[in-house]
Amino acid sequence: MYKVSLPAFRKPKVVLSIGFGLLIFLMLLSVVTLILIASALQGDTALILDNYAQSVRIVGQVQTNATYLRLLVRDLITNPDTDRRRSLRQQIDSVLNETTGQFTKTLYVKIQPEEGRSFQGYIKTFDSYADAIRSITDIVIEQHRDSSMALYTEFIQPLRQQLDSSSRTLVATNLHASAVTRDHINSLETEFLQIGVAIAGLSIIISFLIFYYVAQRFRIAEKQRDDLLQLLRERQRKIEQLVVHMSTLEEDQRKRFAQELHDAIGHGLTVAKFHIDSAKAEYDRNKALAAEHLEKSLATIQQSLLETKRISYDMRPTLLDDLGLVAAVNQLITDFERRTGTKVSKDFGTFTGRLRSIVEITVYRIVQEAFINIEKHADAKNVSFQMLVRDEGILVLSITDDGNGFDVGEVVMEGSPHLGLRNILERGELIGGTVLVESRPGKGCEINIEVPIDHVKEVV
Amino acid sequence: MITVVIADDHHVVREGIALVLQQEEDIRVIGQASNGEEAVKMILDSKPDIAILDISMPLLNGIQAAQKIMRGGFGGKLLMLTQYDKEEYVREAIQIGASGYLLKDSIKGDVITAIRKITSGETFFSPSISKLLVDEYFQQLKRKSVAKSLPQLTPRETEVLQLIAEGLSSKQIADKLFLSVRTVDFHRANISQKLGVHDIAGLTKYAIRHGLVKV
Repeated sequence: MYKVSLPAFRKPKVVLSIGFGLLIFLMLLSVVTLILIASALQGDTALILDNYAQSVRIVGQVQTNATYLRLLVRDLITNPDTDRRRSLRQQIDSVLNETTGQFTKTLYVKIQPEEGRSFQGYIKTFDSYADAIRSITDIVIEQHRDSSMALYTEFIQPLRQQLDSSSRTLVATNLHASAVTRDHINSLETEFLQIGVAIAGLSIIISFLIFYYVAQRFRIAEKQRDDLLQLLRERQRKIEQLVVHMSTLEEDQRKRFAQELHDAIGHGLTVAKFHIDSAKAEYDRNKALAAEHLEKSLATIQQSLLETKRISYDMRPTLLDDLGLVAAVNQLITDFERRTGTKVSKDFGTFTGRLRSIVEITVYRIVQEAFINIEKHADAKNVSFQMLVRDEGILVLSITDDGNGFDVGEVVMEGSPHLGLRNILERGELIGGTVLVESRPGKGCEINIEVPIDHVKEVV
Repeated sequence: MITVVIADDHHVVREGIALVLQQEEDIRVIGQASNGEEAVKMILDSKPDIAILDISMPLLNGIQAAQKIMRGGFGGKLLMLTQYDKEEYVREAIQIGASGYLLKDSIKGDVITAIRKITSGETFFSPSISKLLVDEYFQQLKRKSVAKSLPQLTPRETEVLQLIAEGLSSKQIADKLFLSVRTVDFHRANISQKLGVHDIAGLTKYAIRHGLVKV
């Protein structure tokens, strides 16, 4: 008896889940990195905006200084006190220097072209303004006060206005630029976020689909494995049943054989011995009687010999080994006809080859069992037998009778005392064949057998 | 002088035959073999007038050995020896070209008669075998009178073919004949195999042509 065992089927679901989890995690990580980069960019932008704000602040201060300078210049021109004028002159110089210093400070600011131009324009304007103030201051210092006033009115005033408008342009440009930058950054950020979310979403969906697909495949594989296992268990159970049944059958046969051996041979030999003993005893006294005893012992031995041949052929039909299935079955049917007087119409087709010996003996036993059943139970008038081989390599046998028939279900049922039919079914199964039994009480019986024969060997 | 080779795997049987033959002046046993292969070699080498072959022997059975011997150009006569009075053995032996068939039961009485008869060109069969042969012959005569040239369908197959030709499906045929569908399909496959026709149209045509259905 053998056991069917399959290698343990490891479930890769866990491994796969971890793998895909990792994948999703990486996707998420990339999205997060994207967002971090975007916010860093935003920080940069904040710095730029801050610089602009600073430049605006500087412009404000310059403007204030410009106004202060104008007032100082006016005061310089109108004040008669020489000492006062000298101090005003110093004050003007220091304010001018301080204001120019503001410009150098702002130079590091990264400025975009448009803003840069307006800033340069502003510086130029202030330079002209400063030049004008210096010139006037020089003139005032050289005591040309009247002409100084005229110059002030003619140059400082318009320059001052020019400076104002330039500063306004600069501030406006700055404001506009910062707004544009902020919008740009915002839209960029939004875009980044959208792309990130899209990538993440897509990868999650793809991962899920892959996971679902793989899981589905595994479910199918598992189902197939389970089915296979089920089938194997089923077969194993059947084989076990068969083995048990076969060993029972074998025991029964041994019992029958022992009985027959005893009846046919043992009994025969005992009788023969009795006659020979008697003949020996009578030999000197009564020769005629002794001869009679010898005659009887010879007849008994002859009878035992016949019985022995019958038993031995029954146990192993030598025809099967010597000439094959067709000859053995043909002989079996001829013997049946002779024994029962029932005619069998037989058709052996054209097949004359040899089959694997297990197939030959099994098919032979099936046919034998079928004919024994007919002989014992059917009381049939007509029996037909046919055997043929289909092109696809299937040996086909049909045994049909018009006898008593029976209820197939009842006879085949477990525990039924009629073992013949069950033997036929089990033997057929043993060689991978199909046995179809059709019968109803009073309607005869037909037994149809299909056996795959891939190992046909021709007689040498 | 008639030369004889005896092949049988049972020592006792060989010796028994040799003992019987020894009593004849003009018969000489020139060799004994205990299996088929040995027998083939010995007979083809020593070319006896008569080869006595047992059918059930190891390595090569008597039938196979006889085939080899005949193919090897054996010019003598074959006398087959067997335990069993089965027609199938006799038929096979005659086909190979054996001149006699002797049952082991009757060796003592028959073996010399057999040798003398087949030496003079006749055949010899043990009495119980002769009876079988006569039976067989009559059977064959009877069978020949009913044999048809058409592939022979069984009554059941004819029934199924009729219903196929009438356009019924396997299921309908099964219901009608109180059979299982698998049994009906079994018969269908056999009908197709026998007639060499594998489609319904062809089967119908065949049935009409042979008068199984009325058009």
